[in-house]
Amino acid sequence: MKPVIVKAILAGLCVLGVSAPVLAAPQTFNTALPVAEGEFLFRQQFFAKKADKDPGPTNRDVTVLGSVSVLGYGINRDIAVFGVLPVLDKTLKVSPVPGTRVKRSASGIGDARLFARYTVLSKNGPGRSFRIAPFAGIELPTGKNRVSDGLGTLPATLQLGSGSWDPFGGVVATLQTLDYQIDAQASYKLNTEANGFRFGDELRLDASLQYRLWPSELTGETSGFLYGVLEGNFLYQEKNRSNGVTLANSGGTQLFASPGVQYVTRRWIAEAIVQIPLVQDLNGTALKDNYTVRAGFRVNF
Amino acid sequence: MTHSKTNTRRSLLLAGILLASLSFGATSAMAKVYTIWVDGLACPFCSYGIEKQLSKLPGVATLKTSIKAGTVTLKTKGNQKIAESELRAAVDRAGFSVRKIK
Repeated sequence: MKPVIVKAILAGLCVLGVSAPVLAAPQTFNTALPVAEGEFLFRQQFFAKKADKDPGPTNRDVTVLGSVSVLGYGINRDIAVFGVLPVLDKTLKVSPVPGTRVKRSASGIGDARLFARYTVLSKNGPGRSFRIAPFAGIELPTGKNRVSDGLGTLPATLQLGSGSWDPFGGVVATLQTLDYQIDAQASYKLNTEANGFRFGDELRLDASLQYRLWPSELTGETSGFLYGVLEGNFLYQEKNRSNGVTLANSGGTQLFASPGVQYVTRRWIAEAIVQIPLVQDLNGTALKDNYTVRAGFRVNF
Repeated sequence: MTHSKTNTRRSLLLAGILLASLSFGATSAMAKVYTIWVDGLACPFCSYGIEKQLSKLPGVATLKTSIKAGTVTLKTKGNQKIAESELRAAVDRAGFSVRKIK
């Protein structure tokens, strides 16, 4: 793709309203770029999510603050394994009856993920790389899933974990050149039942475009790249089920646009992104998102 | 007497400097330099993985990567040689490919 076309796409998306500094090389999903054999990568991301667009009468307001730690290890040039551990602080404010306001919360470790990625195609050329890598893994029930307060057991969506063993898989592709990088991913998570509750399965389609903003011209001494990033995330979730009954006010379709920035050096990356919902076609009175802000770093050991 | 001592010291100092220069020059002249053209190298973060793999090879003194040129320049300690197959294998372990080595 010609640089002019890439610039035009970025400019066009900014004009469409995605203007705040938000996302860069996949910050909301994975990449197919390699992890060197016997080497570790560490990534730490902090995020804040706000959701208070309540179509229902209870005026729900959910805030989730959290961090996600990721450790990657290269088994060989084609196979890498990853461990992901979230730490969450969830708060729900709700008015069950008019004139009242109740606050409920939970904080602690969430559900960890373990997965492996295998590069099935790697086409390298001067200053460019194209890779395709399927991945598969499982989400473990490491987060508390029976948290209760004075009002009883917290709703499943406010729990730190699902309590279930949920397999997932997908494929990610990456095209990287000296000027830009494009990543695309399709994934599916099969949620299973725990405590009589089953979250709906999730289908995700993600794409990311990074364009090198600085330096505009490369020299032999270039030590770092500043990328402007734009990601898109499509999420479809089936309705949840509780004790065999489908919950009408759950699941649906969301589409996010996420602008961001990323500074890349040999040893570390600093990055930030904002996920803004463009489309939220959710079922019934399912709570809609306002935004999610993410910032973090990655380190090459 | 004092004049003679000063001259002796100067001579020894000059001889030392000359010897050190010759020794440094000889070491530099003996170092092997390999330029490795790496396919797939397109960002700084990826270059570190390649450098880590190459630095594990015995005899490596310095490594310098040029993202623009897509090259890694490797200098060895003394006149140590590194087989081309070892260089290719190291780059391969990082997930990249070698186009050529000079």
